[in-house]
Amino acid sequence: MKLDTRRSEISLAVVAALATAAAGAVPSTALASKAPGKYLAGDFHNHTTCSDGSTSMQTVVKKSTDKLDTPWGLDWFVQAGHGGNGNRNCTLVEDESLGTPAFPYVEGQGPATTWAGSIGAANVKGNFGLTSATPDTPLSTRANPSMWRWQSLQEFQYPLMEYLYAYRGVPLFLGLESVVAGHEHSSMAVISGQMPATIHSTPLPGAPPYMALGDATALAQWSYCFDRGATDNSRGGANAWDCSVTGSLNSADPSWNSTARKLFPTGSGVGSGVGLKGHNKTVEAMKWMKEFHPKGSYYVPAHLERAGPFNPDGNNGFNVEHLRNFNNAAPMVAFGFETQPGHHASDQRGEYTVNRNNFFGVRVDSVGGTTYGGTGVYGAQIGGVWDALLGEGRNFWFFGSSDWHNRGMFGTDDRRSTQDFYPGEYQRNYTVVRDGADPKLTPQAIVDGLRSGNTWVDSGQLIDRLAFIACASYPGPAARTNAAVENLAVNAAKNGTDIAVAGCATMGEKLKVQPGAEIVVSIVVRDPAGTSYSPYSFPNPSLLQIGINQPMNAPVLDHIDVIGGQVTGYRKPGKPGYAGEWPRDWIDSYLIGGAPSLASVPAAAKNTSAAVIKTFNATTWMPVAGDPEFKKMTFRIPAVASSQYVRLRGTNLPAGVPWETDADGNPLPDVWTNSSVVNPSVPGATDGVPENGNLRIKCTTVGTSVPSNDVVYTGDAIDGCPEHMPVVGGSKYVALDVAAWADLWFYSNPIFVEVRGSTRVAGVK
Amino acid sequence: MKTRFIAVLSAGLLSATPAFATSITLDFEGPTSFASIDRFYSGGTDSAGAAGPDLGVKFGFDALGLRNDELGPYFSNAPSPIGVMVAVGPGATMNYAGGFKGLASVYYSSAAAATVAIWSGLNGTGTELGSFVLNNNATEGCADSPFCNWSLASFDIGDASIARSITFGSAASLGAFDNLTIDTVPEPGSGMALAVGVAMIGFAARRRRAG
Repeated sequence: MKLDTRRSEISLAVVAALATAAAGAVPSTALASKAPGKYLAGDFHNHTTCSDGSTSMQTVVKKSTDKLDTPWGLDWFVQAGHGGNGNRNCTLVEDESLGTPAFPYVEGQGPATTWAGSIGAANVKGNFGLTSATPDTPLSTRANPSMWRWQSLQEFQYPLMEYLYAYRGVPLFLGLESVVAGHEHSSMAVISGQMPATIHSTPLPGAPPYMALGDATALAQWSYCFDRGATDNSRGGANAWDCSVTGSLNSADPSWNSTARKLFPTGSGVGSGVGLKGHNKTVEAMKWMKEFHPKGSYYVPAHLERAGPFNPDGNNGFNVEHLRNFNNAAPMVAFGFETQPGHHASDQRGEYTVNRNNFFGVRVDSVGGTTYGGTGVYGAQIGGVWDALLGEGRNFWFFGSSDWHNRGMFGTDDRRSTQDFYPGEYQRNYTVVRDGADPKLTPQAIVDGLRSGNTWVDSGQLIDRLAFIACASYPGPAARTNAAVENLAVNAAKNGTDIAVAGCATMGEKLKVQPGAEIVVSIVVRDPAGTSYSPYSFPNPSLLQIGINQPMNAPVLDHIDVIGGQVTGYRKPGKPGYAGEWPRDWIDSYLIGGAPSLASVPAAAKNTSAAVIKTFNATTWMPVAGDPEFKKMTFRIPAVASSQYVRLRGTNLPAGVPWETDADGNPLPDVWTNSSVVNPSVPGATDGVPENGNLRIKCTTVGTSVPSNDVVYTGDAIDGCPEHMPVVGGSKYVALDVAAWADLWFYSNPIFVEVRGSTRVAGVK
Repeated sequence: MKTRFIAVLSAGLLSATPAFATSITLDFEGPTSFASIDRFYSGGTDSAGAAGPDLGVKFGFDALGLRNDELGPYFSNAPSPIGVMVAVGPGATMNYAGGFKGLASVYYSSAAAATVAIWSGLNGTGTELGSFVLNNNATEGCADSPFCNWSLASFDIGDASIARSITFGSAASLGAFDNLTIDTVPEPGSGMALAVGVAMIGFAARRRRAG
């Protein structure tokens, strides 16, 4: 056989073939970059008269989102009152100023008007429920029935919320502060069905009724199925709900109630196991959300230290293992905790206190005994529960919310408070929201932002912009300079955006690197000029103790701590290091002038590798040229060999402020500004503390513009210690809202660094 | 003319068999910047999840893609402009299990002199068959980025030996690479198939001539 061809022809053909191959090797599509996102401020835990709040839905929406009358107005807002039931109609407004065409003021009625007095008892659905001797009796037979939350969400609160979203043009949706089976409370939402896009193109009616285009049926069903307070067994009447979860025991679970078609843990007292059974029900709730609304739901335990540790025979607090259980069951749903509670103006900040809880006759502290700079011990203690969870590489994020109920001794419109701040007035979750080209923020974009972990939490407008980024750098061509990374952060902070550069990460993300990489960490904050939303212009009494004269309403960021910790992998259920209760006597050593040690904390609840690795202050950060409100600071973590994370906290208080911060800059327990009575450890004991007995910081400024407690004060320039400060021995002391405005902190969520060959950061994409 | 057609057809057959002897050029335009190239060129993905063509070429994790971004520029004037490869550690080895021989070449921009060895075994094992010799050329005649000048390094492995890996890790932190070209070795099975195929084509051509 002879091939009558020339080599050159074959070569040409080969070249052509190679060219074809090359054409097939065109660059693949680069990874889709992140949609543009901005940090927007929001709140997802607050109350109306439908639960135990004091205002209508319209009032809380207006107070929370109006940027004129209430300049702290938020960018997004989730109205989330308690689950269970309530007998007041929060959809009725207080006066004509709050009325809208579709929901006008009704003469003689308001948000305290009962359902019976507004819609009529006959229209209240469901039945007496499983805690009643006659569970099947219709509620409508009662003269003044409380409405199950599922009905108020589905039929009354949602249509109003949808209308207000369209009417006011502010992103809103409905959630719950669930009364948790086996625990105390959690902020949660199921957004499926809420706020369809058509609401923005559908004309609003000029008069009642407003016919909702979407619905909160999924949230209402969750409320019926899983809220501890929802003892109704009606299956939601015509909804005919069934609370089964695929693959779970359901009817084979001893707690299953076949009439209600849901788990209903029973029992009480020592040995009842009702707490354990309740916890298991709540884990089923996680599974339900994961099964039916995997992207449209979230679940965030609220003020989770307040009710003490977990009680297997009651419904109290959360231990670290319960957070792990939730996150294991539904990591994209149970992705964080509200360890910075609301109620900052309360006489027991956050409503946390010593001996708060009664475990069958034994007084038990809120976990940690109190808050620390306004944050619960789980989030505030370096190396504590939060670091333990982050040290596993879990997606578990820090949030704060107002828990707005009322203003204590003051009226709704007063700028002073002895109980709560309005959503956005004091605390703000700054969450990156990627709305893409859609000018209307959707609930989904907000939930996605919360889930991403790209959130930082501020109190008291200490800072209002933050860029926190980490970039990989390698010697040679892939080297990155501090200046280049810092410039990226400056631009992000100025624009209020996050970053989208390969080889860089921000909060809630992980940076995957090779061993030996350097990590360039850059932080840019804006410490805004002007005044905050505090009504107090007199000098901060806490800072006056150390000779710093700084107006309360013009706080200055003192320093930022960078906290780093190692990631060592997930703890396995049932194995050592998975479960453990925070020491019940944590605060005791503080109360006698000492400080507790992590040595007393079980391994499950701590990460001893966590520490402050860097501190920046006015001598080490630099102002941004031309815009000195912005401070920039950058450092490098050299040659990383193991997976780790970095996170931030910052405050207006230097280290060593008496009764506020320790010598290392850690927040001290807020017990020293709590004016409430502290219960004795057991009835009749003498270890209780009388009202004002713990106060330590004098408030000495005498002003010329200090309104009486009896008038409604709507201004913002109280120049002396206000009249409602407690007086001890003739001197005013810092407590209540002044204590909150004096003691400001921000917390960022972490950036993970996953080093090849080291522990995988499993919980973060 | 018919003969020429048959030759081209033969080459077409050749190209239709990816494992067949051919030249592969990796232009590094596709891998994600700062991600390990890993299996981007072998039917998998890089460490950021981006997928490329399946050319059977695998990289150790220390071989990263690199593109200019707002923190750069890191390089300029590269033969293919979008992306290059950088070695950030010793594990930046390129593996081609099917083997390659003949002329191998790569464009480089290096801040120091170095050699990059070519090995008969995978992962830098076996016999060192030769190397790419890199000079300090990174900024020769240019200054628009730290790695702005590129040179071609090549080594002729010859036909007697078969190489299976190149250890770029020896140039870790020194330079960047682009347009890496190797001539792959025909797999024995593929060669037999080609021989049969070409024989059939030849037989057909002969029948045509006879006809």
